[in-house]
Amino acid sequence: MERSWGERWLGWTGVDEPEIASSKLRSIRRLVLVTIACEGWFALGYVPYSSQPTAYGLVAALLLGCAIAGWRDRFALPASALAFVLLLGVVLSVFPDNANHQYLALLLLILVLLVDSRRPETKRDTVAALQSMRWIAAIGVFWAGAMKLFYGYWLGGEFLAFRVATDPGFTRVLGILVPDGELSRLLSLGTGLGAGPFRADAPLLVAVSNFTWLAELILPLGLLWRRTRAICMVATILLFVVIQLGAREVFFGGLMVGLLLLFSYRDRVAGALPWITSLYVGWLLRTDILRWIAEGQNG
Amino acid sequence: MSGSIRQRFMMAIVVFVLVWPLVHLGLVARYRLDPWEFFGWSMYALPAARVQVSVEVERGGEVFPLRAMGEMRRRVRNFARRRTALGSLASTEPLAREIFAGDSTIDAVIIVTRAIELDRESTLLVARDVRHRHERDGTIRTGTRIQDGAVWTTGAMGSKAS
Repeated sequence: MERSWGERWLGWTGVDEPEIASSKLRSIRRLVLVTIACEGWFALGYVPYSSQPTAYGLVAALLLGCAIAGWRDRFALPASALAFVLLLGVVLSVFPDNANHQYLALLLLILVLLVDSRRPETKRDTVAALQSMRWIAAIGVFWAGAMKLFYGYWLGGEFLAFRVATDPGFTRVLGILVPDGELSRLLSLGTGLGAGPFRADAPLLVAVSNFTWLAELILPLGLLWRRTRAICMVATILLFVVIQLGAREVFFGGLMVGLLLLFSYRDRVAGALPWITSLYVGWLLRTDILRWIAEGQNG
Repeated sequence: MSGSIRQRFMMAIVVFVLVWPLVHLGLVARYRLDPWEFFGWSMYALPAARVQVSVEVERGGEVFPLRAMGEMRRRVRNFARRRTALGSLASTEPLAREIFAGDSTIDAVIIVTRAIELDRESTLLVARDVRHRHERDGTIRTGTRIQDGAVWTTGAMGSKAS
C-alpha cells in the first residue's frame, strides 16, 4: 500500500507490525489511564485540589473507574473519552496550577481516541498513533536538553549545585559526587535573599551536569535511526530513571518511560505496567509505608 | 473522520509538541511566565520560580501594610500563586479592586511582587521587585494603575539599580 509523506515522516520513529501495534496501544492506553487515576488521588493532598476535596475526590474516583473499565478493550473508548473530559475539566478548573504531565496525558488520550477500532483503517491509525507518541517522547527529551543549554544553568553545574544545596532528594543522589567540604559549604548556604554562591566546584558534578544535557540532545537523534534505536531507548530510560531518583516526578516519569518503551520492537509497556503501577501505589502510600516501617523498627 | 484526516490530526499534535517550546520561550521572555509550567519542557532547566507578594495601603498620605485576614489573605495568596505561574499576565488590578471594595478609606493600594531568582553570573539568590501603585479614582470600584512596571533589581548586598 502506498504510504503518504505524512506516514513516511511519522515512520521515522519506527513502523510496528499491526498485531504488535494493537498490543502496544492497549498497554499505553492502560498506562495513561492508570497514571491519571493515581495522580488524581495524589493531588488531593495539594493546593488547589485540597480546597475542594469532595469535588476532586469524586473526579479521582471517576478516573479510577475509567482506569478499571478502560483495562478492557470493550470499554476502552468510552473510558478514555470520559477520562479525557474529566482531566480537561481538572486542567481548566485549576489553571494555571497544572502539572506538565496533565498536558502530556491529554495529548496521549487524544491520540488514543483518534483510533477507532470499529473502522477498517484502524491498523494504519494505530500505527500512526504509536509513531506520534514516540515522536512526542523523542521531541520532549530533545527539548529538555535544549532548554538546559538555553537557560545556561547546567553549563557550570549551577543548577545541580543549587538543588544539592536545597533539595534533600538531589543531595541523596548527587551528594556522593561532591567532596565533603564542598557539600558542607553548599548545605550551609540556605535559601534566603543573597544566599550563595551556588557555584559548582566539584568537577564530577559539573561533568554530570554537562553530560545530562548533551545526552538529552543526542539520544533522541539515535531513537530515529533504526540501528541505534534499541541502545538509545535503554540509555534514555536509564537517564530518565536516574534523573527521577532526584526529581521524584513519579507520574511524569512513569508516562515518559512508557512512551520510550514504545521504541522497542515488542510491547514492553505491558511488562512494565505492573511495576509502574506498583511504583504509583507505593508513592501514594509512602507516608503510611514509612510510618509502618518505623513502627516495626520501634518494636 | 477519515483515516487521512485522523493521521493529519496526529501529525498536528506532533508539530505542536515540536513548536510549542519555542512559543513558550517567547512567553517566558515577554511575560516572565514560570518556565517550569505550561508544558515547555523547561522543568529542571533552571531553579523554579518563587514569587512573594506584599501589599500596602495608603490612607491620608500614610502607608501601612495590609492586614490581610481570612478571605482577603486567601486572595492575596491566590494572586501570588497566579503571579508565579503567569508572570505579568496575572494583573494586579483585580486584587487592588477587591481591596478598594473592602475599605472605602483606602486612597491607594501598592502591590509589590518579588521574584527570587538565581543570578547566573554571581550564582547568588537575588530579588526582582515590581511595584504596582493603584489609586482610587472617581468610579471608586476600580483601582487605576498610575505607576506600573517600575523594576528594582536588588543584589545580594541590598544595592539597588533601576
